[in-house]
Amino acid sequence: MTPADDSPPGAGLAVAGTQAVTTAGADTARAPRGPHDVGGLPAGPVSLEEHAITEWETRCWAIATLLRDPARGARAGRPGQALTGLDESRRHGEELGDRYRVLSYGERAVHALARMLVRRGVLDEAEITRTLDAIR
Amino acid sequence: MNDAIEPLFAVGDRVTVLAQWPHGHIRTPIYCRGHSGVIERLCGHFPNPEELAFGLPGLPLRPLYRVRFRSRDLWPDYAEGGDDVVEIEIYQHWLEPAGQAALLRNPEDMHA
Repeated sequence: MTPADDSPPGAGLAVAGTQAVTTAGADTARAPRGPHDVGGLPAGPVSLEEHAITEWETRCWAIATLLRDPARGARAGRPGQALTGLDESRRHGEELGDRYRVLSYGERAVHALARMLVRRGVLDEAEITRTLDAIR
Repeated sequence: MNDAIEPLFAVGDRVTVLAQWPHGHIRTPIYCRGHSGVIERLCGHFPNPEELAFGLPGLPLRPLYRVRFRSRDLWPDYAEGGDDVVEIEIYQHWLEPAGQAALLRNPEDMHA
């Protein structure tokens, strides 16, 4: 999952603002682009309208905040580390591929939380499906 | 073995390979990959997001830099101000000294 880091720590990179660096990868045309990675693409005008935050989004954010609390991670057998974090949430969202752009920010966050909780054995798929069926 | 992770699966269990994003969790935007810029500052040391993304601790902490690119280096057709720059925060292990790229890399290998 992690590419080899074959450069030793501090491999000649200066902080003085004078040393040029190259980002890895030469052929951007063939590089795989994640659904989130839209910087520099034509996008038209940006909507600056505020959009209302729904009740469920607020609740999900509260749950996510608790799950990202390192103190609670310790209780779940991960001392010093939260049960999950923003990076993991983003990763699950980006794995949605084309569905990434169909779902809203809040929907992606819920999807990511569900994926993470199933992976950690806190919930199972059947449990989530049953509960969703019950409240629909 | 005290720190080893318990096996979840037994011999004969059917398993599915996770449909994970095949190229990891590298945060450098596509548009800057392969381009050269200048270190503007060291932002500090932070856990490696490539590991955090998979629920791992991300240690040891990695140096994070702010790298300054000239907009017209990133986009050859860039028609706005010639002095415009884009600054992107990039971890050390996603950078290499400029000028080494052509010597060290076979582009065909990068996408194998």
